[in-house]
Amino acid sequence: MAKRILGFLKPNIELQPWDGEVSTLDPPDRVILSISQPGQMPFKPVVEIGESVKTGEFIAMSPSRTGIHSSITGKVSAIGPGYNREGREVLCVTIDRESDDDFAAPHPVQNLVAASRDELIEAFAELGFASPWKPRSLESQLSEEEKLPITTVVIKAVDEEPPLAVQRRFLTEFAEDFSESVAAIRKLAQDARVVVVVPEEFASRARTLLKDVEIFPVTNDILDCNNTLLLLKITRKFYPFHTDPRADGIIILSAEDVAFAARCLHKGKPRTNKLITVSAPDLPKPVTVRVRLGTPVRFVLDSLNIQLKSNDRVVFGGLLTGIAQPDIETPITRTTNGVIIIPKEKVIPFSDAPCINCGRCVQICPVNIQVNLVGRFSEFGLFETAVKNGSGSCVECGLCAYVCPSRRPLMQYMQFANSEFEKIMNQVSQEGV
Amino acid sequence: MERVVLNVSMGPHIHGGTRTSDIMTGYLVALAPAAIWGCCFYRLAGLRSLLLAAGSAVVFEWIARAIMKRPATIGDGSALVSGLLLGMMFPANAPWWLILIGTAIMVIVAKQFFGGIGYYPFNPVLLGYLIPAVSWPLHVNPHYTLANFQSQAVHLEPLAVLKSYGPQAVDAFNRMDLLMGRQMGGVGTGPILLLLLGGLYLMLRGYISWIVSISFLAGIFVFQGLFYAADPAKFADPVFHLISGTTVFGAIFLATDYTVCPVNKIARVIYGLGAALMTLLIRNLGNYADGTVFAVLIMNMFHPLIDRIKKPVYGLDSSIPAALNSGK
Ligand code: SF4
Ligand code: SF4
Repeated sequence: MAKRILGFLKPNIELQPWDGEVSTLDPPDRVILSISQPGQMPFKPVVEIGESVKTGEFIAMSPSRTGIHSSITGKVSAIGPGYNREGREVLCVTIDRESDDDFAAPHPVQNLVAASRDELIEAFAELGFASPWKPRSLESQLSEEEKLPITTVVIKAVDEEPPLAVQRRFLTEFAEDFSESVAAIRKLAQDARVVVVVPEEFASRARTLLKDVEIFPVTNDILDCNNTLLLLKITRKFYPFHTDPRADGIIILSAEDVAFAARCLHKGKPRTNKLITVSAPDLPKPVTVRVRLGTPVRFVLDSLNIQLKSNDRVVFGGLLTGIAQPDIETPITRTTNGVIIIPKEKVIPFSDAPCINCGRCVQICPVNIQVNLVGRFSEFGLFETAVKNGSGSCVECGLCAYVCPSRRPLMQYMQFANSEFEKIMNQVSQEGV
Repeated sequence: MERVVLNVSMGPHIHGGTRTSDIMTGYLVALAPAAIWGCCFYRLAGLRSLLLAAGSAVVFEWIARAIMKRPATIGDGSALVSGLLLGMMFPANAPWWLILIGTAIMVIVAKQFFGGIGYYPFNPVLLGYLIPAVSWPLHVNPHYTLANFQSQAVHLEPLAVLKSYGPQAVDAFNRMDLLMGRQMGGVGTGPILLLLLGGLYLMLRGYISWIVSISFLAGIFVFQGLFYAADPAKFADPVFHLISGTTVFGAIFLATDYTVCPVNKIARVIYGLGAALMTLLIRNLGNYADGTVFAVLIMNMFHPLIDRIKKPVYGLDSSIPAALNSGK
């Protein structure tokens, strides 16, 4: 995969163009919907255990009136803590399916572009599209962060890693919805810059489809699709892990969220679906399917006739930075773009073998971190030295560990140094007070 | 559904495929032609040296790791490769005890004392050669060890001839002979063409840094060109230096040892050129006939320093120091 001519290492882990229908899976027997995000104000559940809910009915509401909706028709069987894919505890509502879909009464908005700004925002919020814009009526209740003016909206119609093929579909399969939503966002964003990132083969298509927005074509190279590097190219500013682009008024939206906004408004039905790419040894090639939000991954695998064996790995996300899950009940959320099954034989063991100093990681690192050194600093607990040498600039592409002949968990060494350093800093500042 | 136990670990979940042991296997493949040539040329004496060095290196590595109660590392193949490299550097008839002392120093002192592969400050092969060579110079002198060795070849070590008799004397050497290995030296350091072939293989597979090797060879050519231009009566021509002694062997197999060579590109060029310049200074002005080993060792010492020449890390100057300062 990596080119090895004359020792020039060039990552050509490319995103595959994907051809094939998006099929829709049957509704699952149960969904688990998380209604809180770590570090954010939780949504308040508006249902109780034992209550019956229809598809599209509110189950939780946030202070800014964004809702979370049931994605099936059934009975609430539990409200309590669960785990998100990062393994953090979140509040979840579990719903057991009882019958075929019975949809809650729709509130369609016919003409997105003609609707007024506040109407649009409220309609978006009601249908679960947490738009970064808030209606004026809410102004007094907004947090400081929400009040910051938005200067740049980046809409990503590209996928981040192989084998994902989700976001790019919205320029072809759902092009109408997508272009309408983009037009609505163009209106909401007022003077802000709206940038749509598209695969280069779709650039001309996107230019005819989308008006008054910047089209930013990128290649299939995964480094072109990395969030931090993309922002660097678009805004000429570097936002590594400890910085927040939102503070500069930059927000990133996925093409899927954007396209679904229009689709939902037309039908007046909230969003209950998510597109995911599933890749498994049982499948001849990766498939992209539409599932209900909150579907346990077990159900997805069963529907596609994928057999799991002990010690296989179930990864949420892409091959490079995806997160392996301990539990097959983990639900598909709005940010899960893919499910990859890695059979036991293909699991790559990491090791604590020493770095042989070959330099492959340094040559491949897109932000010029001296990964071999910084990895060792982190390994031996020199977190401050690691941060001073740039571990904080890591854009978490995972390429260093991909090429390391000693199979060191290099990306995790960077993250470890950063989080440990943050802890030390917090301690220092607390003691200082 | 019955419960399946899942394997959980961090990303990335794919790997480029090259492992440390693959690199070492690459070295073995690249060394094979020259080693086989050595066995044919020096017959049993050559074979004996190579087997003794490679075998004892592996055994010493195993013993050292066992005594330290560390996991065995002979599986990564680095001990085998180092042993073979050392065996190829000693002359064919070197006494058995010399070879054993060499590999013991190499594996136990120069490598495992520091923690093994990845941690040593000097290339162990060089120390494993140098310490016996300085202690028993007679026994590593091919003119002595190979005195009663019968062959069709020229029985002279080109660089020693140059040192003793000056550049006019080396005209006696046929360039083609030198390239084909008909020069005296270590078991496997002679056949320049075969070594270059191995080097080409390693470079194409990306197993060694071509930058180091090429800048070393280019450095020898250019710097010796300057010496030669300054005084052709005193200094030999650059091509002669390139194809005699351990120049090519050093450029391809010694200077490129990952652990003690820089990782940044410009630093690698400087490292290669520096090693070349050192080699020539020793050869032209110093006491030793062949300075490659010393030169690479000296550059090993400087590699962390040279490696500070690197491209700036994104965002490091603006954002992180601010975070650092705010906490203090
Ligand atoms: S350190 Fe590794 S994961 Fe981080 S940016 Fe560099 S190559 Fe990517
Ligand atoms: S790729 Fe691995 S072995 Fe090579 S220098 Fe980087 S950390 Fe060390």
